[in-house]
Order: sequence, then structure tokens, then C-alpha cells
Amino acid sequence: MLNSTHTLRSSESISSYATTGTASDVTFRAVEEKAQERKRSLAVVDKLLQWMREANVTDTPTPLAANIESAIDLVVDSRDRVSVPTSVALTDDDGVAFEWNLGDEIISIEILASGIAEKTRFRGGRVIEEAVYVRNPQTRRLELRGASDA
Amino acid sequence: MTTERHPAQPDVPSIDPKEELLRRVPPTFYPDPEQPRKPQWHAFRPNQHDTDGVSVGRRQLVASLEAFSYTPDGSKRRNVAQFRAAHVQELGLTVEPRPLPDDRSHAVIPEMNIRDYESGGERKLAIKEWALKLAHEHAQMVLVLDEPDSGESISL
Repeated sequence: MLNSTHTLRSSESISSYATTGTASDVTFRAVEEKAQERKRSLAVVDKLLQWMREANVTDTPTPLAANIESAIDLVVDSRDRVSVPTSVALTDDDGVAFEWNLGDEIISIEILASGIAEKTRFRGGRVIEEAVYVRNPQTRRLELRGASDA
Repeated sequence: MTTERHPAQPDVPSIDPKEELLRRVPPTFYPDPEQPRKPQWHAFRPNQHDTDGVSVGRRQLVASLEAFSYTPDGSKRRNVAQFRAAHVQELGLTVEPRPLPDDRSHAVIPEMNIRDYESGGERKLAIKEWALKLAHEHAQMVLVLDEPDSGESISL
């Protein structure tokens, strides 16, 4: 474990939307956007729960269901600091992938296995950062295992 | 469309740059309804089955988009994205016909295989960048399921 533990709760990785306009517009828009963000975050959790129910068609929990559970933990842990992803998808390897499309920059986090995630940051179509996060069993949060600037 | 025969695959025509290719896209949710329905780059990342390259279907050889939307074992349905062979070639990659006993349309992009991806390093980074370009710049969704594994679908 690195000395300077870095968790995915940090907001430094994912940009938030900027608001512009007069002071009253800013306040109104900020409240409205926060409500929209909250609604979309809940919709993401609802969709993940639906996929988990569909993955658990038998009494034996599947790897996909365990990964979806990790994905739900990530959404819930980070929803106050990280914007709602542009898309959430299952992968053909029983993973879950989040993607944030931020204009020139695209960030993705893929739940590879229960408690293990890989982050990729693209800028201008090039990979500029890769990092693997592992869930700390004590804090239950995903923490950086290693990073490489591409 | 060319009718030239691929030397290694006598039963199928070689792939023309103008030919449309298909890729199955796993269930995807877009929390913001204003966002365009683009596949994630992960949809083009080689999976554990893509040992000899990312699998694609050749639209001219599939029976229908509906039929292609089923996974090879027939157990699940997927969304379907479409792109041209020329887009693959513009990235410096190739598309090779690899017909299967029950799927004449099967082809692969051999440079995007799971072994190179899992070996890490520069090859993995390159595959990620190719996958991003195919997904975000070239692919269009041509079949979207209302719900995963449901019978409902919208052909675009």
C-alpha cells in the first residue's frame, strides 16, 4: 500500500460541471443541478440493482452480481463528490464499467472483480493515466494500488 | 461489395473497406437522457473470448440484426453497433474473415486480442485507444434493446 493513500472519493479525478450567470442564477441552477444529479445517481443505483437481480437467477451468487455490488458501493460512496457518469454498462467479462465524457477528456472506471477497479483517463484520444484500485477491507473503500502516467 | 474469395476462407468473400461490420454491445444505461447513445470504449475492448482478436459480424452475411443480437450461445441478447471496415483500416488495423461452423459472418480484428491486452504496457494502451476511437468516433448503434435480455428492441 502506498503511503499517501488515495481514494476514489476524491473529487480531483472527475470534473464537475461549472455554473455561470448572475448570483441568483448560480444559486438556482446549482440547486436544480444538484437535484438532477441526485435523481440520476439514484437511477444508476436502481439500474445496477435491476442488473443484479437479473444476474442472480439462481440461489448461487454469480461473479457478475458481486461486481455489481462493488459498483453500487462505488456510486454510493462517491455520489457527493463525483458527477454522475455519462454511461454505465456491463462488460462481457462480468464487469461493470462507468464512463464520464467530459469533452476532450474521457474517464472510465471498470469494476474488474469484486473490490478491484481499473481507472483509465483519455485526453485527445490518448491514454494519459491508468490506475488500479483495490477495496480496503477496513474502510470498504477503493484505494489506489498503483498508477502510471502513460 | 467484392466477390473476391479470401484465400484461407474459400466460402466467404474477402472484406471490402466499405463493408459494414457489427459488434454486440452489452447492456448500457445512460442516466442523462440528453446524452447520445454511444457505446462505451469497453464494448470494443477484447474480452476473454477474443483470444484471436475482437469478434465482429459482417452485416452482409448476417441473417438479420435481430439474429445477430443474440450471443453465440443464444442465452443473451445485446445491443448492436455498426461501423465500417475502412474505419478499422484507418487505424492501421486489419479485419480478417474467420467464419465459424454456425456463423459465416464472423470476422476478427487480430491486433485487438486479449493476450496483448492482458500483457499490459504499450500494447494495452494502444488497444484502449483503438477501442475508444471505434466506439466514440465511428460506431453507430443500429439496434438498442429496451431492457437487457428482453424481447423488446428498436432497430435504428
